[in-house]
Amino acid sequence: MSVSESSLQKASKYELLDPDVRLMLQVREGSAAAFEALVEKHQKRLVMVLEHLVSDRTQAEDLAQDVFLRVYRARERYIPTAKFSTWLYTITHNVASNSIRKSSRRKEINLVASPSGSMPVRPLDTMAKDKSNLMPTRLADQKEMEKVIREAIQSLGPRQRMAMLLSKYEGMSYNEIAESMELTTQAVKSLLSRARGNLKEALAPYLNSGKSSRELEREDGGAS
Amino acid sequence: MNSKSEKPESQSGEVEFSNSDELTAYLDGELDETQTQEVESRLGSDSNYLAEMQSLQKTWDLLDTLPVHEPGGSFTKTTMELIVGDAVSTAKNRRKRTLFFGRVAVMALLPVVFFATAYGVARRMQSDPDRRLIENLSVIENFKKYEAVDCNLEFLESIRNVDFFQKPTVIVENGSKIDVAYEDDSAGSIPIDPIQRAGYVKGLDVEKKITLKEKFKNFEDKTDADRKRLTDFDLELQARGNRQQLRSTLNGFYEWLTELELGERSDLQDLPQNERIAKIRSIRNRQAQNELGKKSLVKLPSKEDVPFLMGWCESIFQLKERQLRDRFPVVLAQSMRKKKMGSVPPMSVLLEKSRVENLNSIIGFLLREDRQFVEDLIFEGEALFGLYDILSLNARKQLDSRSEAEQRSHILDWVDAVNQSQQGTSTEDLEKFEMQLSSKVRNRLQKMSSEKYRETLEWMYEESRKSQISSQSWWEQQIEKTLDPN
Repeated sequence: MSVSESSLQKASKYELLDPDVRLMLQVREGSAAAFEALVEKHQKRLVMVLEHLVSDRTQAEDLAQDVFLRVYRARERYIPTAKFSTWLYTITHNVASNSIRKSSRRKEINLVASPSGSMPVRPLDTMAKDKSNLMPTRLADQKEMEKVIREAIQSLGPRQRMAMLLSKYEGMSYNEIAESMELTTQAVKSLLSRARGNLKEALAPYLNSGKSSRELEREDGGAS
Repeated sequence: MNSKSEKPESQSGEVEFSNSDELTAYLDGELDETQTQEVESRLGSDSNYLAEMQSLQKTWDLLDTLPVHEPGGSFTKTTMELIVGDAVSTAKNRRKRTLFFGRVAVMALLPVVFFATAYGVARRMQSDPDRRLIENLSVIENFKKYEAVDCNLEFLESIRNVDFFQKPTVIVENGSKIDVAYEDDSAGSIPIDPIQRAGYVKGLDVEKKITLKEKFKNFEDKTDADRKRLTDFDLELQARGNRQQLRSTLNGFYEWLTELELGERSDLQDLPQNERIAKIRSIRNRQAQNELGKKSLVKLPSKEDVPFLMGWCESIFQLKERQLRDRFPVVLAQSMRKKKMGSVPPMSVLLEKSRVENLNSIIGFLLREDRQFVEDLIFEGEALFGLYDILSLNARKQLDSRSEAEQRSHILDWVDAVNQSQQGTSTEDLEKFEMQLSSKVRNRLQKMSSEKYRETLEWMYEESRKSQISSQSWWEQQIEKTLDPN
């Protein structure tokens, strides 16, 4: 059956505005080079997002390939009704959710992936370190800082994490995130607000001093 | 004018935000002009509000310090190879259609040819062993299960009729959605299309790939006749209309079989089909009856920590007793239904059982049947702070080296161990004791309700320990008396 008029209007709008949509339309026509260009362009951020979602680099790369394979398989049915990245991350969200669900079915108890999307307010290791008076100067080291940030991201529920990653690293609007994650805009607002709040709480010890990790590091070095 | 405590109103009629939602939306540039002005006005007059905004922004900026790694150098190449494989598969399907729709298919093949010439022919990518692995993937993944039922569909149908091994459907919460899914069915999830199978193999994690290679090697080591028998069984199974139920039964049966002790397993496998089914039924009955008292072996932390851990557990158990007792009848009913342990008693009976049941038994049961509930209950509030305060540095280090999920799981194992240490006779001991009884006594026991069975067996065990009784006839008399006091 023919597509509706509004879909066609949307299609031409996105074709005009989004170079990736134009590339995808070339893929639909059979261009391997266009597909390769899309892979080249999106692989880095896609793998990064997936890595934050599944916490494993190798698995993230495998899932990213799965995402691209699905994009390729859907090429013939492709009608641009949104930005290419919105569509790409809709697929990514589904692939990652399936993977997380499979993992949890294998009874790998993953508390950060609680179904409610809520998070434990204080990760256990943070609490432990609090108690052993090791914070925050000892952790000023950049590598450790990275670890702390990654853990803070991991402590978010999967939906908060996904929304946060799309907002922060893909620069998506609430509407685009809502489309990608098949949620309402209001739900995205709420998810992002909770995600920011939870991150702020988890990273509070590094913010209270009002100094960056590098400054903390320098101070630490100067003191010794 | 808005006072500091007032929420800004949106003149555009948009949804109103809480402070946090509002600031997040402001920082994300998602507020309209009026809302933005209101927020900025408040930021100028409310220092707490300003501090909150700065704190949120700093947190957000902190995320920029994370480095972004490039995917492996061959990522694009391998992705494109995967795509070529898929294109070739599509081409194959289309080639079939050329018999009927020649011209259309030729047009459809053009992009595929383009892909294929650009990236090489996919077949060249697969060496012979790889192709054999992919072609026989379903058999390779499952041949041990097939062997467990002697490649005998009739036998498989018989155990399906016994209805013990079919896995029930499970409900998976997926964010706000509820999905109904079948228990993981590895054979069912293997694609039929060879190229999709290649993608499936590629998509396996490292551990699974290694396991698959081992299975492949074992399969290749078999004689031609055995391989053919297994392959035929796979095809026959695949052709059945009720293959999903049969596979589910097969998976359940195999899982159950591997958990049996080696001796019991080989005894079972040696029996003729009819006797084997009767034996399976009898073992399953025994297991179902023992289910409530099943125990696992868990290592406790070091000696110095044990008394503190036990004290902590006791206080947690006391604190959460009401929730544990409330949950017990619900899970018990679910479990009885799931395990087909006969008709489920009315809730009033289950509630009464929950009221009188030993709390440690309830905790042990919930740890097995609804671990997530116990986990959520134990770790809610400030309970963990309390535990961290009393544990030694060594125990804390032991926990600190693990991920958060592992830490919680580990502590739950400790809780389980403490709980077990406070319970009565272990099921292992009871099972060993039961095996020493005559078949007549065992038969009488197995006809009892699970509650009565356990109670009687525990009593017999204690009596035998106290008085060193070993006479089977004496037990037979006692059992008769127990069953019919008059």
